[in-house]
Amino acid sequence: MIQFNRVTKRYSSMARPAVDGLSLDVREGETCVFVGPSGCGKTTTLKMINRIFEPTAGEIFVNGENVLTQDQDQLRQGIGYVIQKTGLFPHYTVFENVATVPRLLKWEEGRVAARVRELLELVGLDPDENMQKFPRELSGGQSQRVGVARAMAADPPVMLMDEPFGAVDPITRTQLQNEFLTLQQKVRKTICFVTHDIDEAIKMGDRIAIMNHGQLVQYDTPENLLLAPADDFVAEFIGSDRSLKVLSLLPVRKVLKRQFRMVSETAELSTVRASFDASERNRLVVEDERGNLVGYVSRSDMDKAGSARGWNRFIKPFPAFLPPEATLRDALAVMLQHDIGAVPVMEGRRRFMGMIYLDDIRSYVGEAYQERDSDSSTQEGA
Amino acid sequence: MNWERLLDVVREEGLQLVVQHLELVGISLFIAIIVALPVGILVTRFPLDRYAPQILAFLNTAQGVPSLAVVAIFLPIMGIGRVPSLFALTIYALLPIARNTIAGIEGVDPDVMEAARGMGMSPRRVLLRIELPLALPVIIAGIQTSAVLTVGTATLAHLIAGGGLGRLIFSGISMHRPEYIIAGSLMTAALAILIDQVIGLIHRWISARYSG
Ligand SMILES: Nc1ncnc2c1ncn2[C@@H]1O[C@H](COP(=O)(O)OP(=O)(O)OP(=O)(O)O)[C@@H](O)[C@H]1O
Ligand SMILES: [Mg+2]
Repeated sequence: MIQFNRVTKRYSSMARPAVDGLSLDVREGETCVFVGPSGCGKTTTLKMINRIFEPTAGEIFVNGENVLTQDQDQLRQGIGYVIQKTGLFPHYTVFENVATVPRLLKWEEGRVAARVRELLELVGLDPDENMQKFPRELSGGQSQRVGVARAMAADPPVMLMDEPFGAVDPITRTQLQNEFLTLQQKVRKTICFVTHDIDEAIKMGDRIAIMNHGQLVQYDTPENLLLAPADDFVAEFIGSDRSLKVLSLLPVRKVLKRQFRMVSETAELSTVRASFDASERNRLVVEDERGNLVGYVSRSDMDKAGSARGWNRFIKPFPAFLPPEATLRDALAVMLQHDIGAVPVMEGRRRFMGMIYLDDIRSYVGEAYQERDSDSSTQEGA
Repeated sequence: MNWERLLDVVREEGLQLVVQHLELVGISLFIAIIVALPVGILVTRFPLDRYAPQILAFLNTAQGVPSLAVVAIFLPIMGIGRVPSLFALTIYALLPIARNTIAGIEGVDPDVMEAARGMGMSPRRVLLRIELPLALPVIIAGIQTSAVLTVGTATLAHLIAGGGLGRLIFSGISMHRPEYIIAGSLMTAALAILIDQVIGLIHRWISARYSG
């Protein structure tokens, strides 16, 4: 959707190029996050897409068309543009701000009004309450939402966002990030997103482009980036806690156990004992006759059970559950908090999907790293 | 000093001189606006925009040239009368308006400009819809300064036979008639205050609408 073909940008005031031979392909419907230290050329890269800057060499294609051969204004009307300080027009109301591009495109006013309403709702602002406000009457978070709405007004397939959440407080930032992710699920734009915050990059990006001194160092999915940083620079930029970060990327379903030994609530003590004998675990999951989750029993309690059904007294409910969309990080947090080595995954309130075991997380992550390490060492050898 | 005479002077010649004075001010201000606004805008456009800071500095310095000197400079070139007076006044009135037009446009938040261009507004549309409205309060303030200055400077027009309230002041000086001087000065001052207030009102109204 967006292709960079050996793009270089030199400023006359600088000895080395601000962007140096960048080649990269942003796929349709994906969010590509450009990240790197200050001055590495992220903003310059972004602004060459909508021709605020023109490359010194190389070509950029948007939707198969060379941006340099297109009418500049038309090109820009088809690309949503969000900047850190919002750049809202202070003398225009929220309505007029959002209506900017549709009016440039000469939509009829009825359609403009309907679209503005729709957009404000989409970004979580009550249209009636906010439409007639001026930008100075908005909070930082609200301004940023209006900025996003304005950029999306004419439904452009491509959006450019330069540190869009850089100027708000951490709580608002997290909120805006989450809203934006939900929004992107719905609209599936092709997005180029600039940040200098690696955590934001990991959270927002389908793919991450790490830059340094104007050069692309690594372009990969967040998972691959964390598991196999291309070089020391990337590893250092990601931070020493990258193994923790990777946990927040991996969904629990990667280690979800659906098939494992369970005992029925109605089973006799001898059956339960036999199950323990056949298992190396010290705890077993208990289900009822319809396959619903009841709780767990511990091996050590079985000696105190007495009668055939007396063991039922020792069934304990799980202190916590995870939804299927939880990450391994969530799973670990729950396990540490409740001091348990296993936690069930429930869809909705009732449907029991399976268990997450601490051992499985450990071996999964360990294997993932080993695999990448051996991959990279064979590459180096070749 | 004879206060009766003062009132007589005002009654006999006051109205005519005020009208003449206002004409001088009005015409030169009008021409100054028509010239200074486009010139100011032009200075903020490519390729002149690179020199905008220097031009701004020059205009600020030029403003420091005393008005009497301006009138004196034009005397040998253009002779005397109404047209040379208007010409000198216009040149003098241009400066604050041009200066504030440039400063106002240059002062528009660069993020706002970037957003406007980045969304595909044409340069013309950006000028008309964004830059000028946002610079308007500053431009009006320039016109205000210019108007007040011109009211004062226009008294000098009399020196090159341009008419206006200067006549009272300068004939008062030459004939040793303080009541003439006082009448002329008071009327000039009143005019300046009045014009300042009226434009100030417009300025406040515009600022309330267009400020960020
Ligand atoms: N208009 C310009 N003229 C001259 N040099 C520029 C211009 N814009 C950027 N540069 C230089 O180019 C380099 C890259 O700048 P750029 O703004 O792309 O960096 P960035 O990665 O976005 O940094 P940051 O995280 O600080 O925003 C920097 O060294 C900067 O000083
Ligand atoms: Mg930047």
